[in-house]
Amino acid sequence: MEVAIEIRELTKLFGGRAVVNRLSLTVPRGAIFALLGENGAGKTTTLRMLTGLLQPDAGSATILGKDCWRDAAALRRRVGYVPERPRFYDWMTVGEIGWFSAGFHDREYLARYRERVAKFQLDLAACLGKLSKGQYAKVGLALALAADPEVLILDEPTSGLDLLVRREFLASMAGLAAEGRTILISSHQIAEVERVASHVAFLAHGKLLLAATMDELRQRVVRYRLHYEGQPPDAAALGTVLERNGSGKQWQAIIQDPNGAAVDALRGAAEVYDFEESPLALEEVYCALMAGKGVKS
Amino acid sequence: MLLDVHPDGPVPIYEQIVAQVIYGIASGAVEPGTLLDSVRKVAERLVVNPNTVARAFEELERRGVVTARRGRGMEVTAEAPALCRAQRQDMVRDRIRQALREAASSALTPEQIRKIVDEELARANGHKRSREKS
Repeated sequence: MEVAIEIRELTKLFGGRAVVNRLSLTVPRGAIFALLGENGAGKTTTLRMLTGLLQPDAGSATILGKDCWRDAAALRRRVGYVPERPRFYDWMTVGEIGWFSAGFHDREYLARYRERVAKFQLDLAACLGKLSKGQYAKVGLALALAADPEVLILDEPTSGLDLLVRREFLASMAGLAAEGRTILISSHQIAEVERVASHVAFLAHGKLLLAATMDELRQRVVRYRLHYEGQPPDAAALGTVLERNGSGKQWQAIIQDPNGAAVDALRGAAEVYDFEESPLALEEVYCALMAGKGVKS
Repeated sequence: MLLDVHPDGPVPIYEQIVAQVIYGIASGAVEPGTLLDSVRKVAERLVVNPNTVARAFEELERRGVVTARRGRGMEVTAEAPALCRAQRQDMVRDRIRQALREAASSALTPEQIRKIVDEELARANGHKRSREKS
């Protein structure tokens, strides 16, 4: 596995409080890696450290083998970044901002920018200050993609976009990943992450709750349902309990990192019947993890 | 080929793609020699991760349904229709088994289940006939 982004024990303090707290993540090349978490979980701060806009207080982050803080200038050519609310010179037109940015990039930048702008159906003559939210976001993406970056970092890329535009944008993400580019996104749009992401990491209060490929996730967070006679089963014996409930003789639990032997024992127990295990939709995993994070400690 | 995935369903996306390609070939909608669209094209159209599509294609290749043609992509094999019809039968059998298991655990008697199956079979055949007429 070729590594695109390596984050080790990354920490950022604001006023003595750890906004990002010893975060470690590995993003392989070609991944669409989604960072999920509530507002204030530390997603944006993490992305800002990766793009060299913030200096880490401890730990390290590297992209393509280069340090995100020390080698920030060199990385800027190879890493595209779109902040959550990009601001441009609003008195420029769509065409002018492309021409202006082209000054910092290679010779093909402007051609790629114009191609992307045409695809996004933006008007080169339109003034940036008069664009809709969705159009404005597309300009940000077009500028980032025109640099032909190996790694693309996007903070809430689809928030505020119309459904169709979002679809189109996600399809272009899939295409970029197919070319071997690496994409790191933070998002609230769980359903679309479920479609396009290859990897997902859940953050809460600056800490990593769980990171996995989408396939691993199906094995790492599992729902068990059963009927029982006599005493209800002990959920904690199965693994980390994220959620547990029951009614009458019905019993259900969502378990993180289930212990195979304990699950088999439960499945085979004489007083247990109608045993079912099923993977969860990403949204259910998200809710269970966010709700269960207090339970764990 | 028409593909359509439901990412939040219980079936992994790559399995959905595999099943749909197999159904498409089994029904005769996709013939031997047909080239599948590229991984990238399918990923963009379905708006799913390209690795997921690549994995589905690998699985189809493993099953002998498609074969890689250098520089051209994945081609539906000559044996694919027979293979897919057999695999479709297995998939249908799986689903019937699940439904019957559910019927058994809801305390229906074998006679009651058989009656339901006969009724539904008659309805399905009626549906097929009316489709053939149109």
